[in-house]
Amino acid sequence: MFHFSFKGLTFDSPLLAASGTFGYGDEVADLIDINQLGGIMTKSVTLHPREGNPPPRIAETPAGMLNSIGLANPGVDSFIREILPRLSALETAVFINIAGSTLQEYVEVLDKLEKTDAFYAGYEINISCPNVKRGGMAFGIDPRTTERLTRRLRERTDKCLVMKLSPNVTRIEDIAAAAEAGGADALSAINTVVGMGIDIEKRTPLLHTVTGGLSGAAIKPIALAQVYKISRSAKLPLIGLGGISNYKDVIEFILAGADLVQIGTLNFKQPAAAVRIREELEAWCLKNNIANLHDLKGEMVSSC
Amino acid sequence: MFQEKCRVTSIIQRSTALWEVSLLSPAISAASRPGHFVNLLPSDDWSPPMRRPMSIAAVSGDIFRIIFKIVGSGTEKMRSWKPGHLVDCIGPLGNTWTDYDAYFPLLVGGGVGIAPIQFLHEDLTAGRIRHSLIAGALTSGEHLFKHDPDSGVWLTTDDGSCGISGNVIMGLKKAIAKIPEKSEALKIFCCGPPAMNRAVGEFALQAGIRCDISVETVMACGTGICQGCAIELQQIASELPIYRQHFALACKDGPIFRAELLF
Ligand SMILES: Cc1cc2nc3c(=O)[nH]c(=O)nc-3n(C[C@H](O)[C@H](O)[C@H](O)COP(=O)(O)OP(=O)(O)OC[C@H]3O[C@@H](n4cnc5c(N)ncnc54)[C@H](O)[C@@H]3O)c2cc1C
Ligand SMILES: Cc1cc2nc3c(=O)[nH]c(=O)nc-3n(C[C@H](O)[C@H](O)[C@H](O)COP(=O)(O)O)c2cc1C
Ligand code: FES
Repeated sequence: MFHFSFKGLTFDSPLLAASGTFGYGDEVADLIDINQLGGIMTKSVTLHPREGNPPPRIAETPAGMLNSIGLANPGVDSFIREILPRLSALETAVFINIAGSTLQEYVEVLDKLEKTDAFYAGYEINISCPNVKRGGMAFGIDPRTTERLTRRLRERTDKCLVMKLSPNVTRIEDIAAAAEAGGADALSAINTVVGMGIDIEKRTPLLHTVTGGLSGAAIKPIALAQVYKISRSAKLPLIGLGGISNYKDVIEFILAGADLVQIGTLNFKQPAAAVRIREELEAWCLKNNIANLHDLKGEMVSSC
Repeated sequence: MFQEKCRVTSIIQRSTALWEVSLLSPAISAASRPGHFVNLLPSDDWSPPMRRPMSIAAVSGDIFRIIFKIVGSGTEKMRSWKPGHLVDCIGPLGNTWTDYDAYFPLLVGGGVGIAPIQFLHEDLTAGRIRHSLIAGALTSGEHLFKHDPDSGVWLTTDDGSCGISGNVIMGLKKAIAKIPEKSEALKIFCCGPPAMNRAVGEFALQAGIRCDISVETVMACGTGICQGCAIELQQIASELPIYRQHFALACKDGPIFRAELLF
């Protein structure tokens, strides 16, 4: 039904779990067979433990949600001690998502991980988090810093290096080109879209940080357009995400130029969404005589 | 933790403000303890991204019950459930009430916060553990119990239409006055709206009474993944992982917290 390989990794499902929406894989292990996923992007890991932003951190919006978690996580040392051994035992491809406030922090996290003998596919580098004061998205809105960071990380690892891009830029294709020039193995897009909401009775913002990141079905058309733009210019494998809710959305992303996709916010509602969508994709491929769904990559017919 | 399509076996209006639904799930029912909650989908065509958390209010055999109040679109949809309808539930989730056998339990429930309190009340009653129940509501029609101080059930109403006129603190004081145990031998178990939780928590801290409170926050996953349900603690909770000692997760570290952590 699906087959795609790059950088020595083979995927027989196009569906990966998006960072921050699947934890470290074990939280919902009772509810889904994790090895049925194409892969997992972990919650962002930082050099030091981070307590995250004050509440409220999430709010529901029409067909989506706002979040401003602020990268709450136990930090890389405790991640290596307590979480990595378990992840390393999974059959599915595990990508460790790294975030940092400075270039040096990204490098140190990666170095610590490289020193372990754990087994995992590679890294997804979060240069696109809109919810932290320093770093995060700052790296992903400037092509030069993107290229410099990518190159520094590339020099230090042979594992698969995926750069995760932000939609909150004028020309995402320039950032994609910078990551490509820096030596990335693949790109993922998009992270959340900057958004906000206000409680009109209390006159207070819905999130403590006022603005946050919008995700869910509401952002799918934005994500699709960004993936399309990147795929027209970059040669690298591309992982599309943003608002995927069903198998049709997955096919749209592949037609727009994605090689693989990630399921994010949908996991909160349906922890086993990726398994169900995979079955639906299989049925669709069977019905349409498609041997390998990946063959549809970029196969959108230009004129409507 | 289980995810099941639970069949609605009955839905009844229990008071002017509260509906009660019985749901069939052998797995969730068997695993549920007082304090737990489920995260459910109001309907199968539910487009909003978040489930709705609801406390388990009772368990009997393969059936568990929830009690809800209508506040918005999700609970509005729930009211239209009919027997036979299948509800997608994940649970049981969260932590549970503890140490109710080591102290004299004072159960305090306000509004729909009575749900997890009722489960504990039934459990203690079944286990023949002596306790008091104090339930607060705006008016008599919202109450699920009968005012019966002799058997330890105290009702309060804001409008004085039944039981004690006033808030749960007044009921709590009367209940305490009636039992021989000293403050150190008491423990309060409380769930209600934020203002009530604060009043009860501050009363307990001042009176030197142990107190656990179940809190409500907006939740997306309910399973500790999204980190969205954080509540700010007033003291460092050293029993939690270091990054959650200040901002704890209501769904995983809670929803029940010691009062001194909250106020
Ligand atoms: C652990 C826990 C147990 C709960 N137990 C019960 C119960 O037994 N009975 C009951 O009636 N209610 C309970 N609640 C509150 C209940 O979840 C909300 O009333 C419900 O989610 C409202 O949904 P809505 O779509 O009707 O409201 P809307 O206002 O349309 O909801 C919008 C968003 O706000 C959230 N929200 C709104 N009010 C609350 C609230 N008070 N607490 C948390 N999130 C809220 C919703 O989940 C949703 O994400 C509980 C909440 C928590 C956290
Ligand atoms: C609650 C929440 C937490 C997130 N945390 C992270 C994170 O730690 N690192 C990251 O790279 N992306 C994070 N994301 C972004 C998602 O991985 C994804 O890029 C985005 O939500 C868009 O996809 P979706 O619409 O399918 O959710 C988070 C998203 C949500 C909703
Ligand atoms: S609701 Fe997601 S972590 Fe608590």
